[in-house]
Amino acid sequence: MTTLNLGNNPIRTCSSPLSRRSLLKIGAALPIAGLATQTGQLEAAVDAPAKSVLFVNLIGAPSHLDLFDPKPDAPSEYRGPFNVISTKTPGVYFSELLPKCAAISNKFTVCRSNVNYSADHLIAMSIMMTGYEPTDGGETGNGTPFGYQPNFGSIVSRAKRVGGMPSFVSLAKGAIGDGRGPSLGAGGNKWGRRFDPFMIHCDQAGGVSLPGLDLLDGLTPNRLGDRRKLQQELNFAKQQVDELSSTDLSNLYSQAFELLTSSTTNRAFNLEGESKQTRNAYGQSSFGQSCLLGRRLVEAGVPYVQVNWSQFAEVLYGFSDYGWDTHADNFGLMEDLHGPLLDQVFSTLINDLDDRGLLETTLVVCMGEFGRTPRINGIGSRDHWHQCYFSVWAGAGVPRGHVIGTSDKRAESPITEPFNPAMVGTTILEKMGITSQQRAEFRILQDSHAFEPLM
Amino acid sequence: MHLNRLCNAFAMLLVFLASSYAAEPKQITKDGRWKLSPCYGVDGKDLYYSLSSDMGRVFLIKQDLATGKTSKMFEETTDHLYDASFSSDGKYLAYCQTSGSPQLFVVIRNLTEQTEATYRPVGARSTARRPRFIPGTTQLVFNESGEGGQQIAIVNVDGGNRRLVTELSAINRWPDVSPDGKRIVFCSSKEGNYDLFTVNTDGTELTQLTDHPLRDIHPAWSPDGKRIAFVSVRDGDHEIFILDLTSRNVTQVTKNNFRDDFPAWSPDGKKLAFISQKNGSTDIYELEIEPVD
Repeated sequence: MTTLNLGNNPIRTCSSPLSRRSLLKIGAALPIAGLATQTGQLEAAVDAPAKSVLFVNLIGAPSHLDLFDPKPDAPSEYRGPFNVISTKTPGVYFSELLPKCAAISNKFTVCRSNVNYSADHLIAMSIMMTGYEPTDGGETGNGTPFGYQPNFGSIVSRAKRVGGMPSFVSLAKGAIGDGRGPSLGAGGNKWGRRFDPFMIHCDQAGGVSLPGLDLLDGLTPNRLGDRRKLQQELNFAKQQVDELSSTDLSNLYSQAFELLTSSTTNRAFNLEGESKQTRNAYGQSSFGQSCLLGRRLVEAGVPYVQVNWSQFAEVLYGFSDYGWDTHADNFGLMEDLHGPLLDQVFSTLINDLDDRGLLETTLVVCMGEFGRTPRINGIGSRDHWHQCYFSVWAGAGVPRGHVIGTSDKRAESPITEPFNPAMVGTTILEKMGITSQQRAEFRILQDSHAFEPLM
Repeated sequence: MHLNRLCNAFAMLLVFLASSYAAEPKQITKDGRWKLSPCYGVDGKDLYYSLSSDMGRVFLIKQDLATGKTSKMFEETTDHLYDASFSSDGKYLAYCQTSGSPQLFVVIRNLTEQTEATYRPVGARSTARRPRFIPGTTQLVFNESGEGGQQIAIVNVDGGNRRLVTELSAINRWPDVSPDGKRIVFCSSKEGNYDLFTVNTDGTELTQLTDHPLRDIHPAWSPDGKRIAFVSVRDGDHEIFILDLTSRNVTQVTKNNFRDDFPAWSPDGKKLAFISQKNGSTDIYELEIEPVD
């Protein structure tokens, strides 16, 4: 029996030739939309500041006090063990965990007044990626993806025309979320799965695979040799899908084939094309190589790339992959892994984009779903805090070397205009030239406005 | 005359090259995967460390230093394993293991009798990290994140009789023990950010060893008891330093533009193993260290 795992709806079929040697899985991560020809597209304004968005998703919620919004004058039970360092921006200080970012702070803007509406990872992630709270209860209320607005990437995907490339790519091992399940707001949501991202996994060595499309026998995008055989297998699977499921999925396999065999795509996927120096600068980690792949996808014309720090929010569980959810041992984890890795990779990404001139037309947004408690908890760590946290913005006309939005003395609340998730989405869309008129036609983010200091 | 100068210059060049060569660390691992907290086995022939691929499961690895052969330890567990450490007589091995609740606990294996004890800190999200045996005793020290904050604590090798060494209003972590078993070195944010402190095992005589506005972390007490290797970011990134406990002089051991971290002394005190992120990969290197009188 072959299992075609179509998103959240596994379908069992009778035996197929594929089962002889391969198990073909089309999973939750599969690119059902995001690929070239789509309906409902609108021509984006040609003079938009951004051609692409690179959204760096710090899953699990990093501590704002220990990174970009330190409070050295706060009492020790807030401040934590890290000192502050000066940055390239006069009068601006970061945590000492971020020396490389501090050295290039003149290339980006830090926002210190972000807010979210939930302190639950799954719901907050969905809100962060869609701008709004769910209409049907969300993940903890037996909600569905249809209760969420579409992901910002899905909106960009729908509005932008690209040929031969996916228009919304999400880089992770699999469907992002936490130990309880996936975040429902990761894709097309109320628009349907046609607008879900195309998911790609990039491992620490730069090897690329498609989490939703497990082609055995080494049939990875990097090693596609027998295109005819692949076409036969995809066609066969497509027939089965056509017989068993909705027309939404009817172009799935040909689209996957197009992506897998497109020379443009394969060039972007092949990190071997980078110099050793560049690959080393990003470092041998999945997050580092994913950011490099993200830059290559942007370079190849993909309009929205979401690089996920991890698949899961959690840290210290057997299943977890070192998300930012540092309820326990925050100050050890931040020292040993999270701080140095973020500092190295994010500074490299910004420098690389800048050196290539890509920062002029690429909007980079780096944030988590919320922050962490300013007051250190009873076990010497930090818990969830959605009332105030940070985001980092760069490129596409974002001011360089600024801090906008201010938090109070203990980083508990913004004392300037709160930067809410709908404003995050609207800012991204406006940068991409998706106007209020277009948003009205899409019926999304109509009652929000962009964060003016970033425009 | 000219010939003499030439010979002298050549001799100086040789000395320079020799000293340069001696200072060049030897690469022990070459896979580039994420690693942390190396330690030597008691005879110095093996190295133990935690290793993860793609931020997946963290294994304890044993590596034969002569052959380079590696093996995974305790593969039967599905949890992450960290911070291996041996008692000086080789009888015990301790390490930390993740679990749902508490999130990290200490496993103490009696390698002679093949028995196992654990210390589980109280509280669902509590953790225990970096166990180190106290020479001449049947106790080990570690840092505990639990009720009372993040403190240095001691338990017996059977996992019982837990008691706090520190009760400081600060983050306190990464303990190591002097070879005579009397003093503990650890990091504390007591004075602002992480600096090195020492304290008696009964919690008395707290002494600050370093005082720098940028953090000093991951101390390792030398087997001869005279020096403490540690990591500092005082030159801009993570580098290895050695503090001479007699003169209080601090010597920088590594100097480059990448991260060098987690120093561990060989049992004879002649080498330091450490983790380096040279060329973007994460590998273990070994550096010969000059003895002190």
